[in-house]
Amino acid sequence: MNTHNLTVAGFAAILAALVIVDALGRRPNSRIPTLSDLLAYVMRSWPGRVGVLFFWWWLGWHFIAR
Amino acid sequence: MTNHADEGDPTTEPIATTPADLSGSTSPVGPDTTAWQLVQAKPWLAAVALMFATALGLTHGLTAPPQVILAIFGWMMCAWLALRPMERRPAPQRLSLVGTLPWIVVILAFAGLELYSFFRGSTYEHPTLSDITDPALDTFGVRVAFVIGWLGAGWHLVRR
Repeated sequence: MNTHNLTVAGFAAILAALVIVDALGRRPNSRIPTLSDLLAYVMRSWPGRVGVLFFWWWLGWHFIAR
Repeated sequence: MTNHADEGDPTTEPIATTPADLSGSTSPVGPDTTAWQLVQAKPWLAAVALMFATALGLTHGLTAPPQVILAIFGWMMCAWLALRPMERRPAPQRLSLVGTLPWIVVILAFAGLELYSFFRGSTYEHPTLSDITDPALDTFGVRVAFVIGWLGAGWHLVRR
């Protein structure tokens, strides 16, 4: 496997891990927070809220305007 | 800010803090409303989002049109969030460190691979995530789908 395929496989594995961890967080009485709860926790403070929302906006900018 | 007006003394008048309170009407849109439910409750909003996604879908690469559209949208969003009070779902007050560990691992793995590829030159041999997604995001359908998903994620975030 060349480095290109290895890198693509790495990103795919990370995406799969993200989905699995979020699914684990949705089980009843799970100690793992869902991604939504994690972001809500970060967004409790004003700087955290601005940072997360700016990151979301930047993601759209980065992937569409390039 | 979460609307806790109904949690206080029941004899006091609730404070109008949400757009629905301020307009005096009962809105079907609450803090638990999903993007899909929002589309069903307000079809005109879906039409605007679809037009926005279509306009961005028709643009290409690092050109002025998508940058101008996204910059204007960004400023409009900032103004809307600053001026319109929102009802939000309550955030967890505490998170377990052990429970958060899987997320830290996932985030660090992504950041590590992305930075490694970036500092190796973002070449074909070492592509960053956007290098991998660029060919797909250059097609109209995928661009429109991405923008719709992005707007849905944004709706979810502002309600948290």
